[in-house]
Amino acid sequence: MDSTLFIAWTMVAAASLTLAVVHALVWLLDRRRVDNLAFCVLAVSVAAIARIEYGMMRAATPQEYAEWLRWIHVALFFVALGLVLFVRLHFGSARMWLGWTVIALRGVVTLSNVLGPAGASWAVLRVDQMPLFGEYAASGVGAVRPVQWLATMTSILLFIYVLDAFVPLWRNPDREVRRRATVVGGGIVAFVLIATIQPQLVIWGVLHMPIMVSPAFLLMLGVMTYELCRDIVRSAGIEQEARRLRDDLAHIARVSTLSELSGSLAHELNQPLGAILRNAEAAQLMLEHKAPDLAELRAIMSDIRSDDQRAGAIIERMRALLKRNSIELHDVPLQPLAREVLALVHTDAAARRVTLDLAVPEDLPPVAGDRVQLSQVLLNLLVNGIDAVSESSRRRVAIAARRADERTIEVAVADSGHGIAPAILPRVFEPFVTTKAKGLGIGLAVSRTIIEAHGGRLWAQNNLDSGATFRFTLPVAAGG
Amino acid sequence: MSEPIVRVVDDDGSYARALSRLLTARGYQVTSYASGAELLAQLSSEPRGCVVMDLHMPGMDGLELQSELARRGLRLPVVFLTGAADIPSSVSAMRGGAVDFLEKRAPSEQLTAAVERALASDREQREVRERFAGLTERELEVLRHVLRGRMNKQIAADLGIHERTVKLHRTAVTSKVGVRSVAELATLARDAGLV
Repeated sequence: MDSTLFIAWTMVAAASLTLAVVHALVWLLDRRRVDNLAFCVLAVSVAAIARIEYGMMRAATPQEYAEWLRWIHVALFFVALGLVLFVRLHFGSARMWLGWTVIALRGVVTLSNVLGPAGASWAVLRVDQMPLFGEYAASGVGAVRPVQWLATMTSILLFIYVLDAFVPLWRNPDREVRRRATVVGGGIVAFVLIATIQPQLVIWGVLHMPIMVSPAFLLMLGVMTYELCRDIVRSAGIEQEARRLRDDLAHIARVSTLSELSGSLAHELNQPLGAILRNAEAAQLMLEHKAPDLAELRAIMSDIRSDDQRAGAIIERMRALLKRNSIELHDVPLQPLAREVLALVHTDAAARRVTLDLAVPEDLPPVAGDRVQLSQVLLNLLVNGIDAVSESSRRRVAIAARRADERTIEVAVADSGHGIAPAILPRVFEPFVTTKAKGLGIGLAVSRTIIEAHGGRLWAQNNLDSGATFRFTLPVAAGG
Repeated sequence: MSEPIVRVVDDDGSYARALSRLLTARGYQVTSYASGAELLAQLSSEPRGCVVMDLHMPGMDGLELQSELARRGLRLPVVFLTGAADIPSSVSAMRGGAVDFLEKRAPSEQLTAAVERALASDREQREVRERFAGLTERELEVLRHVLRGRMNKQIAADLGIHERTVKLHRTAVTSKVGVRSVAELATLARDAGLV
């Protein structure tokens, strides 16, 4: 059985089935990719056609030949179905009524061939054994029945349907779309044409050779696969790009928040630096004495060390905030995080006489998140809160956190300001929506992106008495 | 007579401690407080010296403390310190009578000079007040009328005394305070906080 024909047609069937499996997997992994499912149907049908064609070539009698013919119609129905859907789903430009007509007519032809007597559309009278690739293959000779007119018309309509779907793409002003239309559309159209013409010529008695459409269909599958893979690769690229943009935006937001805070950061740094300076000056003066107080000098040295560490911690916090990094999930205990962020805004708040409250229980389990990004969100919300109350009589901003349920922690940042105007409330998380004269309007948008990237939600509401509360949820860390 | 005291007020414990050490090493009598409220609670009615305080403090900030001191009639000269100086708060500090407004990391010489100026101003005020301290009730009353620019005749009528008695009181005032002109008297009276 190891003939060239057997090997060639088995390979066509195997290649089609492999493609079918791959695309079935793609569809299973992402159910929105229905075009991959259509492709899968198409590829399975092509494999079936390859098998049937091989059976026809090996047929010894007209009866045997006609029996195979009956089944090739079933496969052709699914080829038509798969192709019509694929072109529609993937290129979106097809006339669907034309597609449905093709499928319906193909259905009628298939039904009459499967349910009716053998050779409903083409009555095979005899089979000739003719040479092919150094072997003999059966080639049918017969009479055309009326149903065949319908079958031929269906094939022409299918060709028109495909051609029609690509014509607008060829006219598209976008070069990339035109290129795609030429390569993919041209490939599909050409192979559909070949696969349509060859059997028609055989059936109508113009060509005297075995029916061989599966190789052309396989090439068409190749073109489609190329297109689909490019799509998947491209969408992965887009996702990566989107992630990079999100990180960039978060970075910009951090920098702009920091520049708003830079005054108070300088103030905060000058605190320990000033203490170090004064201590060093004092020590210098004390050393000029004949009997310096060593205990006091030791106390000075230890104060200098801890103030140096304090300054270092401030710089470290700033650096961490400025660093451009993507999300890294760790177990993050909320209380120390909130304390750190409060320390960042403490000076600014004190200068504007805003009282900051912290109500995060010590025994709250850690959340799964990225320290830097979460502190970015808290910082944004706090700075907003401080801005919101700095004009009002009651100046209070509070951070609170609680366990909402087994797997969720809810954090709230509440202020006692004037609240958010109802007109703006639904839009506060949109980028570039701001009520601040110098604000960019990206803080809340970035905050929401960050929280959603953590699998949480961020929303805002006005309080019953005064001010607004921003709440967000975060997942409890796996161990918590 | 007690020593003048430099009172350091800063919520940042470490800075307050370091500054106190430096000023102590320079030979000043220093006490430090963590907040304005703490200072006010421990202040005697006739404090001597000056206050060196942080501008930004939680609760009562430096400017509020300054005006609270003035409200209580405590004329302690104030030196402000800040992490990073900004114009609006330095303006209101100086307008409130601050002796100086320095960054926390200002050179030690500037700091000492500011403290010196503050102590000197406290000393002068005290001296002037002492010069007025010897005046009797009646002489003070006459002095207030004089400073309002009233004639001897009017003062005599207001107080129900003879014009010559008013003249005698005036002479007593100028000789006790040690001035020769009314203009000089007015300047000193303002320094002493009588007007």
